[in-house]
Amino acid sequence: MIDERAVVAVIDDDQSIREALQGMFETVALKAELYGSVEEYLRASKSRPANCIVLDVRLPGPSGLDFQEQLADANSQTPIVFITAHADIPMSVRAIKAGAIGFLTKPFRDQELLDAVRNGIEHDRARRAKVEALTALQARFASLTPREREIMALLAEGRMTKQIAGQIGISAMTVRVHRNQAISKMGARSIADLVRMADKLDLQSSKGQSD
Amino acid sequence: MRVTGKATKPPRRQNWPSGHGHNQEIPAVSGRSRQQRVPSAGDKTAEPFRSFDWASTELGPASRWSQSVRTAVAICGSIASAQQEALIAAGRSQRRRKAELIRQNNALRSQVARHDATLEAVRLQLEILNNVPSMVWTNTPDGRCEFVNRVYLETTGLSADHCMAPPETWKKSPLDLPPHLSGVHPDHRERAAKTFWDGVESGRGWAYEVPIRHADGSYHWHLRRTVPLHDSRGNLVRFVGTSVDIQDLKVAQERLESAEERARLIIDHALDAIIVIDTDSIISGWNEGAEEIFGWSRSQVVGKRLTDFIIPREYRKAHKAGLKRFLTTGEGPALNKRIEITGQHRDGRKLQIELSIAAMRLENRWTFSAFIRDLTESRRIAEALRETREELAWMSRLTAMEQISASIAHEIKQPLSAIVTNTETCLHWLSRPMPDLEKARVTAHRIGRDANRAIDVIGRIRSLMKRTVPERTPLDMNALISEVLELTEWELRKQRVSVETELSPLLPMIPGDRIQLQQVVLNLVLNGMEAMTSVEDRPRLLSVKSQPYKGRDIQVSFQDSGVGIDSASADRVFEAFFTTKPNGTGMGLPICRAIVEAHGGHILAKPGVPHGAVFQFSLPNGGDVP
Repeated sequence: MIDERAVVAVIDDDQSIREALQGMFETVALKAELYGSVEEYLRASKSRPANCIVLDVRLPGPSGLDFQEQLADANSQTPIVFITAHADIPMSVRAIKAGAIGFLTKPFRDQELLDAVRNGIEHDRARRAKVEALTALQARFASLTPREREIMALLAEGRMTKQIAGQIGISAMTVRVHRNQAISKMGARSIADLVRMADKLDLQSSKGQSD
Repeated sequence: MRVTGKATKPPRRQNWPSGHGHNQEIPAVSGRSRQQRVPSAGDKTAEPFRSFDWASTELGPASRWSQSVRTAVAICGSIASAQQEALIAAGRSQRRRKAELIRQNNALRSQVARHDATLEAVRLQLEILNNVPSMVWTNTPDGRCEFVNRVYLETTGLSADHCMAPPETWKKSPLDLPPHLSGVHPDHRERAAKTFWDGVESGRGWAYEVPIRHADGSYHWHLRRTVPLHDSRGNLVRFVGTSVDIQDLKVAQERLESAEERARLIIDHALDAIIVIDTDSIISGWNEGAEEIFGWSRSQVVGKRLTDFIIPREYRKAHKAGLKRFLTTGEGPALNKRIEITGQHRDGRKLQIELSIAAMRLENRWTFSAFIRDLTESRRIAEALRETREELAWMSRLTAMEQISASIAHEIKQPLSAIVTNTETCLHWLSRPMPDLEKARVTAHRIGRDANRAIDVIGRIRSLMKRTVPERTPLDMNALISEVLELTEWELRKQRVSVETELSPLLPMIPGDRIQLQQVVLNLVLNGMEAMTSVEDRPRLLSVKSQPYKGRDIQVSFQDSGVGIDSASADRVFEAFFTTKPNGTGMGLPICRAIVEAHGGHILAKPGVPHGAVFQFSLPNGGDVP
């Protein structure tokens, strides 16, 4: 049920805890990588980030979330499941705001952690899919000519063909040719589809930018 | 009227009174050998000093006697010449008569010679009397002074006339003394007068010690003794006295007495019991200390047997045997050294005492002085002190533990949490349709390991919280430091204190009490941590170092980057109740010092460079631990 390629990173300076968690993930055939510190994880995960991080927070208060900040600073998007023996409300609020996907207080059932981790992995998968789609879109967008990009942006703003032709000083026929070219290159099914793509790419016309 | 000698050299002074006294005949000297120079009526030896026995002769004042001798010589001389003239005048056959006269003449000559010898002997005796190195005088039976010798006059500076002043010139009083005693110290006059007149009236003579003024004005103590002289019929004739200067003796005696008094006071006020016994264990000395310690008063025990009082029944035999052994071998267990034995109080209570005995040989008899100290009280105080100290250390430990209680809880929760997870994992492997025994085994092994870890932590905490009697075992200080840092880790992290350790692998094992030394390390870690709570502008860093020191000893130091101490408080931080922290009890560091010093080590505090403070202690490797 969980993607076999998914990897859980367990970051804890306590070896007993690390090993216990690894054993637990093994029961659901989830690969766990063990790290003694955030630094250790960041060094090892550059090439292939984990799908979910299980982070044992040993300290209450803001300082307990230093690891999370370290991860954020390193631009890690990986979902984090916190486990702690010393949770307090300000800490959990801060953790969730900073993007924690789960916050478990010891003692917890194994299943709770597994569920949280599974949830994290799903999030990660979705995030990765989204990122992959956007990356493809961006690649297609990169193949457009400057004029096609301009017309695509203006379309996304809701301009009619004639308006566009008038605005940039070309014939409506030429605008239509560029528009069809862009639809074709971007793989859009309709003008509406192209507009949604422009939204995803967060396109803005040069005029809009200058407004 | 005075008589002056002509034929022989006169004495330097003639003190013999001639105007009064008894009218005496010349003592009989005929029948005595001429070699016997000194006449003696008694059957005494010829030795001049001894033969002159005033009491048994009727020898009167020598001046009268010598005068009579001279008169006799003159008369004899005139008789002889008259007879010769008569013979010549008769002019006839008087050869027989002449021979008779010659015989008589010779007899008279030898009589004169004998009288001369006697006179010479008397002069010699007078000379001796005047020059004996003590004051000599005589008194009439009514107490007047009759004669004083030269030494008397020279010593007192009085004149002979003054001493022998006629009775009408001074007033006789039972409260005062005759003129020859005018040098008696005013403070002692009345007492001396009483003794003097009592002696005169009783006719038995007198003796007393009295200070007398000397010619130089100083007073010297004298011993004055006077004995009565009687004639052959037993009548009191006069008193003859001598006075000896006992000043030096008196001073020495006073010194001795004050020294004795001092010694007695010292002995009585000594806190120790001092008991003196003889070879039969008979008590002769028992000071106040002994009364205090054993409950028997001096009067109850002096003259009685020691064994009946302070020696418990079961030791009495040993005491006797020990005494006997000393008398034969000269050895004893408590002789000139201190031993601990059991004594007994009057109420039967057994006492732990420290005993030392000095044996002294006085007047050919052994005397034993026992010096005894009651250890019961000092033991009790030492024990109470030790208990208080332990209790204080224990309280301080509990306080420190309370400070790190969250840390401790975490330290226990970690392995327990791992155990919970491992247990579920293990059950999972076992409950599968095809149980994975190998994986279950690995997990179960981890459960055991983590459980042991939890037990270790609990044991360590328990020992810190227990009150135990300190014991010395060989310790690995590095391991001990690591354990404490583990216990405090969570707290240190919470305070954002990072710890740097530099523990020398060459550190020797040292003997010590594990719990006490853990407390020292714990206190110093917490102390450093607390010193850094207000530090925001620099890393909070606690650096712990251990290293060998002076060969086999060790040194451990804790440096923090906290507020630091100045040199002045560096000396005071180990004083009780000295604290610079708002919540400090002021007991942590004094306890550290007490513990370190009890281990024979030293602890010091000094300002850190560039900031903070350094606490450093060293512990010796006594080498007395197996």
